[in-house]
Amino acid sequence: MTRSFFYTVKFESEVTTPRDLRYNNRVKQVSIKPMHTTSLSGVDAIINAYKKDVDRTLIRQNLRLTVDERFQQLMKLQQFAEDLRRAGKQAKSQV
Amino acid sequence: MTDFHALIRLLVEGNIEFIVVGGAAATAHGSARLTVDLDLVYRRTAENIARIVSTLNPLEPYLRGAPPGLPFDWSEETIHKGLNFTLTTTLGALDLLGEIIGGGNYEALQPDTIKLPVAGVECLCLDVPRLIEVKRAAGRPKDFDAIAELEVIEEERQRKQ
Repeated sequence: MTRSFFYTVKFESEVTTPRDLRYNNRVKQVSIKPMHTTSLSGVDAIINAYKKDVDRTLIRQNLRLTVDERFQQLMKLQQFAEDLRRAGKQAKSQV
Repeated sequence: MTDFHALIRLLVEGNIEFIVVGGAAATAHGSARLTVDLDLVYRRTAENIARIVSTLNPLEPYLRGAPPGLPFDWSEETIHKGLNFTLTTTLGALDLLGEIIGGGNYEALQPDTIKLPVAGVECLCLDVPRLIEVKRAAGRPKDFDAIAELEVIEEERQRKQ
């Protein structure tokens, strides 16, 4: 696992603009902490979060199809995606 | 548009040894996600490479995304010297992979395949648990939602049994 670091810099006054950064540079505190890349448990948490949004009704529907039917469905979806892309290009050119 | 049926049928009838992986494998298992290319891991023996070259030659394979006119020699020498090829063909997008991150080569993947009846033929396809393992091992954030869907597919299949 690679180790990365991030810096926390707290200023005495509120920094609102880049100009402030240049001229209001009274630093109150700087802390340097190691920032670990996503741990395995972090990856599981992300995947579990995505799982909540998987439409199980679609999966169950697909599991009732044969493999051939699944690929036919995919090719129809491909065609639809291409049609949409073309329509989008056309709409953009008309704007 | 990729004609998955025609591509798979052609490869099987050409006696090519390959394993369907990636998005197409996920589709075969019930995924609802869109994929536009056929990913497969091919066996890197001299005989199989010769069959790949002769079978795909009529489909005018060319490097996908390469500037038009860039010389590309579709030959056994090219396949031997390279490993993974993302191609465009007259039947659509085809990724010929000598090995995949997190999974390895044909020999490493073969024990975890199922026979897939598709397009009137039968071919090898990576099974769901190994697909999940490969994607997890690759560790790419862009695969997290695909992994989630595969895990749901496995759960729903277990439920049906």
